[in-house]
Amino acid sequence: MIGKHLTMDRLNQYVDNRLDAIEASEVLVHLKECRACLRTHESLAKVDASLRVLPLEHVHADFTRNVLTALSISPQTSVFFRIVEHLPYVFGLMIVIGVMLAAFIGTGVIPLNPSTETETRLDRAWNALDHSLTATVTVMNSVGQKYFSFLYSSGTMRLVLMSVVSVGLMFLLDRFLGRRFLTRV
Amino acid sequence: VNVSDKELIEQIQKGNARIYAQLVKRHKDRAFTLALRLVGDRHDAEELVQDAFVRAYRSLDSFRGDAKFSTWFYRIVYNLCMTRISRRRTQSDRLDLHDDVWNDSLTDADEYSFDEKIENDELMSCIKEEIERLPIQYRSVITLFYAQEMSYEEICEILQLPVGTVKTNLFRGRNALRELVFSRLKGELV
Repeated sequence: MIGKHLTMDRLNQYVDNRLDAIEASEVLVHLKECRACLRTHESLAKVDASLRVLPLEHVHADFTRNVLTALSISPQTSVFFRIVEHLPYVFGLMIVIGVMLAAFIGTGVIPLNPSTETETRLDRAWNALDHSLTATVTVMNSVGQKYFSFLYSSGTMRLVLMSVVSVGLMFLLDRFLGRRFLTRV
Repeated sequence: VNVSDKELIEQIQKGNARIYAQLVKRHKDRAFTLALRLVGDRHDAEELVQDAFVRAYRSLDSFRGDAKFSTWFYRIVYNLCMTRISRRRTQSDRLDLHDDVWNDSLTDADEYSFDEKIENDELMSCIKEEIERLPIQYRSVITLFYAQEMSYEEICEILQLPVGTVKTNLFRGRNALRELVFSRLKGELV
């Protein structure tokens, strides 16, 4: 016997597992016999299941830091993190200086080498960029050899430099992406 | 190590203010989800949640350990959101769904049954958008129940409503959502 249809209240309680064992088995028996109630239950259960797995919304990555700042609490950051987090600025500055130097030298504002007749402005700019980057690397290398000679004893230097460059670029990229992945606190 | 909210609060009350960052990290996304569903604007929601965290921190001394921090904190978030909403008075553009025509009995042909072929992803994205159209009393209960994973009783504490009202709003909200999703999917299919 199907009898009267289940009420929405009853079906919702069934979906939420709020019925005792006897009531739940009564609903189950009814659902096996009543197609209308079964279809309603199925759609309610689908909505319920989807709501349960709906992803949370996410605040901006700097949110926690902003809260602490508003409360005048200094965030807990390690010395290593403070050094690493400033690497993007160093890299950014190096790129900007390199491009500016290339532009100045390319346009002839800063004379570098006497250019040949066939050399175009683009060639001069490219050569200037190449010169400035080479000069930067040479200076860094000579400073490194003077003060951190132990790093030059093996392939350690290359490994350290590669790591610093990788971390710096990673943070630079993260800054451009709105700091979604790396957070300070 | 999974430290409870209560233990974190005890450490903060002892003077270790930086620990508050952990409490913020733990609750920020759930609180933001609640605020966003209520006020409907990301910027406003983030500002309100930040304000709620600041207020909660300043009131931590008066926080009694017999209640859960989450219940206490989400009540602050909810109250701030409701104040913002009442100031904006933009609720008139929301749907006014069947509040007075709620029909608790089913008929032979329930017209809001889903097509079995509907994809879960499609249903989920549809539900996410249609929640925004629910009246505030349904949206708040549904968000607290599902996103915050709270019991009827905890929701009662936050909304300051009787259990019966919370249950009714949850059931009606879920059913209204079912109708909205069905209507939208039907409209898209035609």
